Amino acid sequence: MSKTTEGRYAYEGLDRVIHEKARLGILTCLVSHPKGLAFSDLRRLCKLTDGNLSRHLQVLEEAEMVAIEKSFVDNRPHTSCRLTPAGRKRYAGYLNVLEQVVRDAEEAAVLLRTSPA
Amino acid sequence: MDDLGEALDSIRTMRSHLARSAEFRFYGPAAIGFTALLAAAAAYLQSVLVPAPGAHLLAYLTLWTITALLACSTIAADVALRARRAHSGLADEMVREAAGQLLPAGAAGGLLTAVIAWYAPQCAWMLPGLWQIILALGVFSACRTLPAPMRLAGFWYAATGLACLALAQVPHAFSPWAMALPFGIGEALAAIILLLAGGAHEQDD
Repeated sequence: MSKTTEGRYAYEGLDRVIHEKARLGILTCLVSHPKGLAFSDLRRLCKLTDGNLSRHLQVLEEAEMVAIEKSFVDNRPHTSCRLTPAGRKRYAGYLNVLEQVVRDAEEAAVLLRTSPA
Repeated sequence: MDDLGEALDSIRTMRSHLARSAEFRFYGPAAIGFTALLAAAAAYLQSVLVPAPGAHLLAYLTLWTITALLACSTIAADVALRARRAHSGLADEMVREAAGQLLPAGAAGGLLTAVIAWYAPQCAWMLPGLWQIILALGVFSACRTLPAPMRLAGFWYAATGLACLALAQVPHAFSPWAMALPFGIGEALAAIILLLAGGAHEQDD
């Protein structure tokens, strides 16, 4: 794509739902655990509070990127979260655009370094 | 490494997590089924061209090495074609991951054959069984990203490999059946599993 093409730097694929530090962390964590993770493990791995994690999971669930299952294990409530196929697809698309952003920035930095003052 | 380089590295790591956890859908049932036919054809050729494999070990090994290379090339070409058709940013990463899962088994099989043929040809009768066990290990190692029933193919190769070692004694060890049945049935089983899994995925998608 030409550098002067309209919208070349619009980065439409930078999904707002994913483009938030905590949610990006949650999704990356779930990607690494395809069978899902218990709420408590996810909270520990992402270093979030109960309230924060619940809030971000709700956003991701509403966007149909994460499935949350509530059950009972040993008579105790158990919540597990896993990435949905749609979430996986959107996450992959997000990574592509993110990579493009960094590559464009790298290219611009190289140009800046090599151009005469 | 500068900040941008580190960012690219992090993205690569995320992508690699994604590729490792995604189901590998680029093995085609037709290509795998074709390798079952290859095994049957090689067994027929062995019975015609190498009627006494114990006495002509090199000819026997050459025939089956060519068959294995043909099978691997067929599957690799099919995977490359399917990955290209997928137009997915993750396809290349997934193909690299899949190759990384199978290469150790392939290398072990090749080196084991060479070492036994060169230094201990009196042990060559074990090769058909060992090849099947090594293939079983390769299948189990790839199973993490394949449809779950593919473990059946792994169990099949492990069982037939052990049976070959336990039951086959020279000269039966080199019987064409000791290769045609395990590999023919094993590959056909893998092809059927992929075919059924492909149908299930179409329903999911």
